[in-house]
Amino acid sequence: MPNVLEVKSLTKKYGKFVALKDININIEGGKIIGLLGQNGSGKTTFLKCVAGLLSADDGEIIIDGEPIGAETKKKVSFLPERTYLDNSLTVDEAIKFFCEFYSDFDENKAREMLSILGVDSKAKLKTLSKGNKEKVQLILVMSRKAKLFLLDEPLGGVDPATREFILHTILAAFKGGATIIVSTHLISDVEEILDEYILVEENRFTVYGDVKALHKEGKTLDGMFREAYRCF
Amino acid sequence: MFLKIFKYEFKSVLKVMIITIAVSAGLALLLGTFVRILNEIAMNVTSTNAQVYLSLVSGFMTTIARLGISAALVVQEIILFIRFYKSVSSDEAYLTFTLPATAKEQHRSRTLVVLLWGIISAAVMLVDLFIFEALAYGNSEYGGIISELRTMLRFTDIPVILFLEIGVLEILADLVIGLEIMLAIMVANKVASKFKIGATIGFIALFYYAQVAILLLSVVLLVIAFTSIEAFVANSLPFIEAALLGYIVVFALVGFLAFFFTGKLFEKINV
Repeated sequence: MPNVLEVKSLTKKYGKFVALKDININIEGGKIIGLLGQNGSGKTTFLKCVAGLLSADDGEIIIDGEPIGAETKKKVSFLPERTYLDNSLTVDEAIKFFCEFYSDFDENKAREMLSILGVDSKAKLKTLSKGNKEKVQLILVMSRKAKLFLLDEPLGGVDPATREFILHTILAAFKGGATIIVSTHLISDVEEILDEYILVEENRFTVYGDVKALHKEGKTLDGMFREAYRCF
Repeated sequence: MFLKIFKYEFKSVLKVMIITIAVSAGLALLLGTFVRILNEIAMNVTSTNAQVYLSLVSGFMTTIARLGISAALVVQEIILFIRFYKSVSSDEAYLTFTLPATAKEQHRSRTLVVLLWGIISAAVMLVDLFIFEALAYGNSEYGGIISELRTMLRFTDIPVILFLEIGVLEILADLVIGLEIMLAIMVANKVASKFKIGATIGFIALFYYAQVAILLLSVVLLVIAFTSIEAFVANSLPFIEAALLGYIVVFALVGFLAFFFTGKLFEKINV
């Protein structure tokens, strides 16, 4: 499959601190990729650069053959770690917002998922619990028919049942032919759905591997990560 | 996408502004009527003490109304800039800058919202003040507003061109302050990863005091040129007209620069 994401010599600094250094990677379409690394290794920075939220200091990012801009944002759906919706909106208004701004947004799919989770669409976002707000946000992001999904810690802080729902939602989007990059610490939960993995260590991508190949060697991604980043 | 963003942001601000507009209108109508009733009662009572008391209450209510309506304008401006701040500097910026819109569309649509709401807020304030004065004090020169303005300006006959220049300058100053606040928010967003609110307030104060300093300096220079304040007041009309025109050009330039640099910061966004 053609590359959906090409990154060439990407470098991003925050002042003197180098968050990403000389990142080079090509990601084919139709894959679920785990972006793994310790806290502060550069995972979120990478996702934000690809989402167009950060301007790179050097290098270039090409999404589906185009440089980052308004056109690539039509093809990329980004789920940040934090809730970013205006709390004064109702769930209905948030859905209408996504319908208005994203031509690939599937309103029926979003409403169906909301009703499965039992979220009242008339409720104001500020009245929802943190967990429910995150679910609404995830549903909105995953209801788009994007080519590239960027999910930053989608499983963090949610209960096991919701985690299963999120994984199911990710797989549903994947069946649509999308590429999904998931940044997570909960490797054991996502390992079963990942095709490939990228290890991020101190602002560099150190390993880009195939999960099935790892399993054939009798290893697990979770075990490999724990071994690599053992603290004691 | 420009129109979509403009429409959405305009409506977002409207949802909150509608409350302050209603409060301001309410103050004008209720207090205007109340002051009128008090004044009519005061005209008909014979007791001097009662007349004095009623006049005091009427005066107090008039002050409350005028201050309240002016305060509503300030609150509206604060609401406007909080909305802009939230959309570009808070977590909501994740949503703002992942929208499929160019930096120009983002910048220009939000600038138009700020400018338009700035004009609407000022217009609402003027209309409410008018309504209050007309209700409270009747129709004679709209309750004395015109004569009050003339007294303030210390001229009995204001030339039309000077009146127009002052009007244009007032509107321009209001718009330019809006653009400067937008720039302050974007600069604070760029330079201060923490304490963004503090940095924003700091930059707003910096731009504001720079503007006040320029104005004060130019007034001082004009007065020095005429060697005394009396000579300045008596002879300076043509020069004031020219100076006001100069201020208009300076404000327009400052506004353009604020708009230009804010646009540049939108292109180099870092959320």
